[in-house]
Amino acid sequence: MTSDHRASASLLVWICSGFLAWGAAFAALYSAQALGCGFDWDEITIFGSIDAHRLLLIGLFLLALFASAVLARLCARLPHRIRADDTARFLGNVAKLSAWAALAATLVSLGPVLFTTACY
Amino acid sequence: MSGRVATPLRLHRQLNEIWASGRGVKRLAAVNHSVIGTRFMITALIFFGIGGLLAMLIRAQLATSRSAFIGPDLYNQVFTMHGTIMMFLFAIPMFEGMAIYLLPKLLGTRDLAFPRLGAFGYWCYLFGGAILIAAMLAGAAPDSGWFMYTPLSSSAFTPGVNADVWLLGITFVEISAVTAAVELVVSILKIRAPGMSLNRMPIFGWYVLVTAGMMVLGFPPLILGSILLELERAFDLPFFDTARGGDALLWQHLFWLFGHPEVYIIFLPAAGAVSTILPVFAQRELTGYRAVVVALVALAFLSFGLWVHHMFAVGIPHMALAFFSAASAAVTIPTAVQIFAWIATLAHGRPRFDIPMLWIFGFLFVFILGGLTGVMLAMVPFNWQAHDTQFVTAHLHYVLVGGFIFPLVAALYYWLPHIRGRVPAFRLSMPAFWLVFIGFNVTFFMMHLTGLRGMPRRVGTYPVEAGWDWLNLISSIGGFILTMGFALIVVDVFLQVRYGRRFRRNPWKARTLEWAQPIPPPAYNFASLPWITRRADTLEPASIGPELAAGHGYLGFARNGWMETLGVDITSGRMEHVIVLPRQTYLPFWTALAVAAFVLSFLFSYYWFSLLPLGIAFILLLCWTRVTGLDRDNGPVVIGREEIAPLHYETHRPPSWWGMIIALIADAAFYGSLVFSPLFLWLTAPAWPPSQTLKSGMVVPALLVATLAAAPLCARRAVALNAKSRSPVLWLAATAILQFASLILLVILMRTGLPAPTVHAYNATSFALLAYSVLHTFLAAVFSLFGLWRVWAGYVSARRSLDLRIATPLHDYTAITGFAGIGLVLLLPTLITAGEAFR
Repeated sequence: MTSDHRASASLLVWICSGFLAWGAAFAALYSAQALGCGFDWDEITIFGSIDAHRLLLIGLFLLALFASAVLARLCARLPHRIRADDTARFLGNVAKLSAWAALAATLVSLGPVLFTTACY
Repeated sequence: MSGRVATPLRLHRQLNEIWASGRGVKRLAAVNHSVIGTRFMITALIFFGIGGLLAMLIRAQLATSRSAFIGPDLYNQVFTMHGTIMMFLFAIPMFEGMAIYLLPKLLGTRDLAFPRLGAFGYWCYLFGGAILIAAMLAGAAPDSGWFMYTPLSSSAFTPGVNADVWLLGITFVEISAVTAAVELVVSILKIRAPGMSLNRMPIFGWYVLVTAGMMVLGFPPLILGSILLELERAFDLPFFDTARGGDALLWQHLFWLFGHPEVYIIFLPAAGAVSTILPVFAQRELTGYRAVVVALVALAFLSFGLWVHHMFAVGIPHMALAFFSAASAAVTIPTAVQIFAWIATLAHGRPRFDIPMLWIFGFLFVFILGGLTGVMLAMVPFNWQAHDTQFVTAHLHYVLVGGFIFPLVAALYYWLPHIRGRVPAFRLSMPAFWLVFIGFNVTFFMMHLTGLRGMPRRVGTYPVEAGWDWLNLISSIGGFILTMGFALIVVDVFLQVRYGRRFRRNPWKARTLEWAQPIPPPAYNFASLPWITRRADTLEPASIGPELAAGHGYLGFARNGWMETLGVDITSGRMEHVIVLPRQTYLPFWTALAVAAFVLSFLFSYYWFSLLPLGIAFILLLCWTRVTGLDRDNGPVVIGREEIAPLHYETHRPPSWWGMIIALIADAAFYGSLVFSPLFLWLTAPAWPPSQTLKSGMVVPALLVATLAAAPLCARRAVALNAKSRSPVLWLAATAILQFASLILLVILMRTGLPAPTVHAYNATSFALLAYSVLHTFLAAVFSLFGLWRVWAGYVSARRSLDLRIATPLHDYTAITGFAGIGLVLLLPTLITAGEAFR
């Protein structure tokens, strides 16, 4: 693949990157929730009232937020980093806004790990 | 190439001779996108008519309590077929037809990337739909609801062929959806007018790109679910049988993984039409082009995180409910961004009014109401109250009719002059709109109320004491008013097509490229291809059209009888190469006919015989390659405007390479769903762990890993040698041998190590995973043999290496999925044992 091809394809990947991270986090948390319930991880107490299952879910949630925030930050720099033609700037801006939207979606859709019952 | 500049008329004749489809029987060989797109749309409208008639039967049945109009068995078939036809045989194919017809015209090119694939997809759609309609006329239509929930659709409760008709017929139709999706994605990315960068692309292109991308990922889970259920029904493999480790909920997950994105797959193209039409009548370019693109990306992804909101009542923990409820609410935001962009466009423009705008206002009213009830249903407590009631029926009709039919009729009135070259002479469209608008709201608003009063969906009768009579009667009266409205549209369209006033160009003063064409459009679209220097919805078709017709753009000549168009860089739109498209051929028709014979053989349980038409279809597919490629190096060719470009056979990443990548992404979505199946069953299904698991030893798996890993290395070595003008034959032969060796080892593993797949879902899913790898090693081996043949026949050189390179991603993919499949099959028993110990 030539460098031009790579640059072209990579801009499209950047546009999807924020929501791909959201999708991966969504799948990971949904799977972890199902696994934990399947193997009764909620019965393993770690810190006082916090069980292993909840700890894992919160850890994954924070990791997802961190990854989304890093991606949003990287995408925010894209319009400045890439070559300065209209197309690249446009796609860089789309990537930036998509990444911020994905960060918000991560917070809203996965935030319930903090306050809902995991297995009932 | 002709030696002198042709006059517009001479150029038209030369190009028409190359591009035009034949008449009479030769029409079956048509591959032109205008013909295929029009066929899709007409066929979809016929199915819409059939689906509408079934809706009338439903409303007649429900008009009064204790109705004996049609019995329960027939009613089940009628409502199942109504939903099935409207979703699978009307909405999606209508979008495909619209996109196939319009895209090359909007993008300033001559055709789509894979014309024969488009034709094949159409025939698959027609034959698959015909099988369903024939079954209905024979009284054997599907009767388990359009979502075919198990165990109702399993052989224990639906022993006849009714469910098989759905599973096989719809899977057949879905082939056309996936092929169209691959074709559309690649065409948008690679075949645009030179200079049309992604930020200059008409917004409709973005809508179709996103929708087709969603189809690439969304349809494979449904195809997988249908295949698994058909395998259960035909060969007793217990994927959904609770007693043997299966789970009915697996079907629901696979179905709604497709089913919810499907709603947006239907809505988005219609919204794309609105985003194209509304600015024309607002006399201003679309406000917030970039925000709309971001909203599309967000909507596409979020729509894959909502599927469980169709399953809120099956017994899911609060946390999972909250994930999907929050995502369901969040998806309204990108939808609202589009609505505000349309309002802002109108507010900033100088709106003028015509029939398409009337339908767009109807769309806004109905769709927004549907969106609001959607937010209500996204909230779990309300959803539990309204689940499986007529309220949900009302909501889905407000969303789908509002979000698809109203914009579609707007698009019909907007582009019909383009298709037929006539504008309306009568104004029947106005009363037709009001009949549809009033009829629709009378019909479906009442269903909210019957639903809130507790009337369930899918019931054919209800008791007098329920108190639903008058609401249902009003609803049925509304249904018949709605039908009259649609009938009037049919009359109006007929009058316009037959007796409408002729015109020259651009009746709406639009600023997109399709209006720079002669009307009705010729088969080649543009006598020469435009070059784009600004956003392609702010152009001047009146000045561009004559320039292009005179051959002043790119490729303004006929050469070697080739169907030529230009390929561009994905994002910048920089011109890259000349694409030579395949000519008219009967092969797509015969191939689809062979697949239809396979489906029918399977339907009538002639399983061994069904291998014959399947083999014929495979051979016919191989015949498609006979007319592609060059047997000598050609070098760059003249393309006009004093520029030259290489032919696509001699470039690094032509559309066919991207076609392979997109097809593999669809394949990966299929495989991901297949991997999900045993893991889901392990965690949630009763009757686990299985009594017997895989017993293979380490020799066969180790050999398998070695052959799977070696094959792509050999394939890469062949490509590398070819690039140095050295013979790749030995390495290609080695690749084929290794792939066949993997196939044999997989079969040995299945026959000797795996317990009978009918005993338990673990065995059945393991069988499916290994069978998937068998199929892929076979395909990879065939690709290697194909490469050998192409080398031998002289179609491959260091410069013309596509036939070898196109197989490399497939070899890689086969190895990766092979490792994953074997790893899962081998590890799952250990995981099960460890899990049980941990429990």
